[in-house]
Amino acid sequence: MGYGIYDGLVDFLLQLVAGILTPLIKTIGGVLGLIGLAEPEQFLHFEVEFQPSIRSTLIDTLEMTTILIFLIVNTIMLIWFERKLVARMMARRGPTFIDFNYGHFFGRTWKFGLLQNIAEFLKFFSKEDIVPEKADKFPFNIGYFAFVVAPPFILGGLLPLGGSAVVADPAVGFLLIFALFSLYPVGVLITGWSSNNKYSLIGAFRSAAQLISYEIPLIFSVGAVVIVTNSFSLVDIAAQQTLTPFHLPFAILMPIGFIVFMVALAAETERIPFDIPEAEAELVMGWRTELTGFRYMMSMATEYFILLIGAFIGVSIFWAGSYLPFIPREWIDNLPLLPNIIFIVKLWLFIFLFIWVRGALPRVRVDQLLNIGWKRLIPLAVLNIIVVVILFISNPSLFGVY
Amino acid sequence: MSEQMYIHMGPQHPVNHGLWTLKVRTAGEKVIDSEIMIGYIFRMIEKMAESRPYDVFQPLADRLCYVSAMSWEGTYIMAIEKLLDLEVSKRVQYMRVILLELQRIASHFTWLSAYAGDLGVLTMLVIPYREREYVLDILEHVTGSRMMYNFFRPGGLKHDFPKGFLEDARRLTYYLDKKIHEYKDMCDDSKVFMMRSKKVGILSKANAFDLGTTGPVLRASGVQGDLRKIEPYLVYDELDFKIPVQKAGDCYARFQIRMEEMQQSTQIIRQALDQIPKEGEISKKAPRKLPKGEIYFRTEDPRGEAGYYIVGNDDRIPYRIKIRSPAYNNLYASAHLLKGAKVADIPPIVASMDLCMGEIDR
Repeated sequence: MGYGIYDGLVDFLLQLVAGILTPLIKTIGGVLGLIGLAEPEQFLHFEVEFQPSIRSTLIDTLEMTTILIFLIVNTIMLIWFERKLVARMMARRGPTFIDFNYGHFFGRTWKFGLLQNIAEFLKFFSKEDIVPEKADKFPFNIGYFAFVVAPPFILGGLLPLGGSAVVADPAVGFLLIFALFSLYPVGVLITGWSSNNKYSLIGAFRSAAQLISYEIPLIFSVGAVVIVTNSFSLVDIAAQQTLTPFHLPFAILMPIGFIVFMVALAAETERIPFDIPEAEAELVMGWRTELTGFRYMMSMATEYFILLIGAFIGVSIFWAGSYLPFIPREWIDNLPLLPNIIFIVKLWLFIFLFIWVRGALPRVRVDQLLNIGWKRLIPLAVLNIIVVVILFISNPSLFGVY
Repeated sequence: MSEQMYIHMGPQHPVNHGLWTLKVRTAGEKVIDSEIMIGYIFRMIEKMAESRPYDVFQPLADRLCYVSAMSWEGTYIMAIEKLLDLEVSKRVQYMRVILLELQRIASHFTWLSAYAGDLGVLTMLVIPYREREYVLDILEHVTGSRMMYNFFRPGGLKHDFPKGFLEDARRLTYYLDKKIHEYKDMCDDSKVFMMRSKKVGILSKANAFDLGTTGPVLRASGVQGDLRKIEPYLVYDELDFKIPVQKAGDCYARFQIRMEEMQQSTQIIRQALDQIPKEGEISKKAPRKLPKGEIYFRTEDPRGEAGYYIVGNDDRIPYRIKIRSPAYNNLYASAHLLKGAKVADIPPIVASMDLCMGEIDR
């Protein structure tokens, strides 16, 4: 496990520290021995050694930092990508160029509006932080950061970045990701309710109803995958899809499950056919009506963050991670960086689907949404499990089990 | 949530396109009752009309509705002409028909984008404005102004069509035909759009009569109530066009009516461009004073029956002017439809009425 890129660096650093500390301590020991405070023999063969846990902790820390920076940069780029793409669908141009214009901070104008989101982040941070007077202050301040913003940031270490590059791969795998996902409605409910606004209240209750009812089809739809792979690990599931006939991914082998997963993920991330908790036509901004400044920015960024994490899960489970159909696994694994590049390209293709849907569809009504969830998606997910189990029992090699 | 609560939607809220308040009593997601509060942009337009010469009021008639200014000033001028007993030439009548129908298309495009935006489909919120802009471009080419035209005159029009207008307008109608068809298909093929529009806000035929609705709202409830057919003014009786009527009475029916009306309007424009006489008096001297007497004149606005009741008193200043706004009645019909609807149905129901606060508050 791990990315393997920091091992050498960490070893070098530890050797460096040991190389400095060993003579230093030997000298100190010698001096202490001279003045009779210690036995000089104790320090003759002294070597500074680090426990293996220190080494692995350092590596994990560096790797977590890497994936978090990767996620944050990709989130910013995702927002930019969505704005440009949706603008093109609407026959607009979107952000074209952005110039900080404080004595030409960057020396020149940045093209394609690439700095738009960074400029907006700066703007949001300069806004006044308003807590509504009648709001319940403690939950309003705490609940939202604890349950909405924090969980996605914890998830970083569980996300594979192509191949077997993942910081941690616990046995519970993506169940842990879904468990952390399900903290989201709690934070939404707390924020919406405590902000003491009727739009926020309705939005928060809608969000809670929506997220709870779509968690079930989301997990049911990947149930079939777990049955055939006998694993919760995203890395193992991605690797299993290279053993199938023609290396076909699960999206083709179990299409019903894939469609259910996509629809449920759209609802989980509150994207536009299912963005009823923040239906701006009737609820202004839904549960985040009272959020201002950096609070609002963080809530929006979290939404895109969750979409990105959903894309990680979807690509790993249904699109075979960094592997391609018709191409043997070894060809990809043996080339450096190729798995990671394939994975990131797939990630952006996956996100493109969601942005396309956003450009094309109106939002559904809350009762229709619950009907779709309970009356359509859950039976379909169960049907998917039944079909896959029958196929699996009759011909296990179809799913890469021999 | 069995507890009931009031939600104020307005005066500044995405659901109201304009300044008004919708006070909704809800139980959870269900609307129990609603109350409409208007008056935020009351400008005393009727009193303004009664305190200045009738020809000076004409540019203010444009300001009644910023989406269909042409039809409001046209109705006013035609009412004045009826009071003055002025005849206008055939060419002017055809020109007026062309301008009014172009305005109808522009207004319906605005409606389409507002309705789609309220449903949450942001692409349809933006794209129809492109076609509307072409219509406004051609109206600007004729009148010199994008929205507040001030082009009608008692006894005619301000000036003739500019050179090359007829060809431009014909080309535009073919382009619009294509685009209207495209938008209709885009919405009809969208399952979510149908889920949100069909069987939402059903207005029965009897209620449509009782609530005094007119225009597309009335025609969506199964009544052919188009003044262009019932009470032809200008040269509408010489033109061949159909009035779309739907029976369902829901938001989707109102959507269909408006889309078909736009298609009919392009046909009307094409016919008018074919039949327009080459020669004709463009403007005529009108009397300075309004004669004694009273008149009620109504036309088919994009929103329904737009009417002016004018009392003349042998003076340049009219004694009384009363304006009949179709959107006013349609707005109060929407309050009736909201009873028992879901909170999420408020935007489509209200938007399907095609409200314009300028003419409601006056």
